[in-house]
Amino acid sequence: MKKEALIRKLEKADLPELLIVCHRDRLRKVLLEGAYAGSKATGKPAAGSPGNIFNSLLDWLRAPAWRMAAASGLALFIVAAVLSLAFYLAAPAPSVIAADVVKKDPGIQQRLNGTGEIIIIRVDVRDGMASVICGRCMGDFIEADVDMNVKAVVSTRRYEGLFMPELAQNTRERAINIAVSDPRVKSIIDRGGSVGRVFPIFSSVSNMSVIGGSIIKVTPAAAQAIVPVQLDGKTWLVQVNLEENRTERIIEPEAGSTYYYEIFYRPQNF
Amino acid sequence: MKPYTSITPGQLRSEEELVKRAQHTPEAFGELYEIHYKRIFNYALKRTANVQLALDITSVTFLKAFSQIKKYRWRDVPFAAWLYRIASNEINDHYRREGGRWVSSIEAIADLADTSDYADEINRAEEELSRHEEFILLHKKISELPIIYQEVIALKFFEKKKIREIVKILGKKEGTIKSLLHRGVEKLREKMQ
Repeated sequence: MKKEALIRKLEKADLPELLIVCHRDRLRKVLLEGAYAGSKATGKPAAGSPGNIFNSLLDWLRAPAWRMAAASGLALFIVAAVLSLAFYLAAPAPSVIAADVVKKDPGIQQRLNGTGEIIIIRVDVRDGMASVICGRCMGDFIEADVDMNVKAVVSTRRYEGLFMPELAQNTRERAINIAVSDPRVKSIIDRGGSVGRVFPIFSSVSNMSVIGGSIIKVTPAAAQAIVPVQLDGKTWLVQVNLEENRTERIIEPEAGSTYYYEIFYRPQNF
Repeated sequence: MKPYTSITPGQLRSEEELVKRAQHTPEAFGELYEIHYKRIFNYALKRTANVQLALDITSVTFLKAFSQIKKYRWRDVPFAAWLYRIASNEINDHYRREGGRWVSSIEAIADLADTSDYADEINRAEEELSRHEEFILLHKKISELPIIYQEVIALKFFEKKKIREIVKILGKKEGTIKSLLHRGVEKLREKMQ
């Protein structure tokens, strides 16, 4: 191969461009809730603690001894336990305590049915009460009032999927057209399939804001949408990219649509 | 994703302000994180062709950035250059260590235990990655080169960086970068024969 041809090949290579939303959100949470916990309590950065903790952590984890120990599940457990302890020793701020109360509340866990870790979206602590908005990686959200004196959830309000933004009619039609132009989707439609309610994919729970304490505004992700296609009681979920006019992927009924179906069609039960 | 040097002087000033705020407030660091997360993850992905490893490297990159942000000195260079440098060092360290996994423990520590949706998302990403066959073949050959060549080739061709941008990321002279690139492509060509 000539050098010029190789350069062209390198320049034109079809490169992956991915995003793991759960990882992004969780790492963000670790960075901001965990490491800054000490600083929130005082309103200014904690005296060297976050940086030092992480530096020590990184140095330690890279020591040869650690690398050997990493092979052992027991070592993992010990390290996790020690460092979890380190986080807790960092004097959690009221907001962290409130978030913790909500995450451990059985009622919240039950009401946020679905899978995945509960993500804390926003915490406001005022006059001995905390308002905590939480959800899972996708799905509905709960706003919980926490009595900070007794460290317990005293009331909750759930925001159903109806708070997800509706797509404009022309955008909805475009999303459907993109989906149906995929031969796999077309074959489902040709066999009598129908298109369900089209939803935008929201980029991140952290992009939400509360207006007046009762309305959740969701910021859609960069122009992507889910087009559900139903046939014979099964639902395929077609993820379309409205910016690039292409189907990103099709989630087969047996490969996870139950999860999404729960989110989009779950009946309101309280 | 636009190259980071598409930043205008005005945007650079805004970024400088944001970085300075991030040295004191978690929310501002969160903004920087949101802006740069995807870019750094995909750089790690293109360097490693391994979703889990790229996630690990991304975790360490931002943990290190966080831990060092107070020491960061603004030098009219986009913040992304610093993140790229941290990520590059992490990737290079990883290869020098023959693939020792260290960051998975960080995830355990941070209570990032696998959940079904997280695992599903990674599985889907791995499937998506596997569809980029041409990239995987190229990566395989590039990964046989010495690390220093892997780095410049990835920055130049996968990240679409200009020479002067690579200079800022790697902290080497322009002539050195050009020379590395020239030799790296030549060595890669030999491997492609």
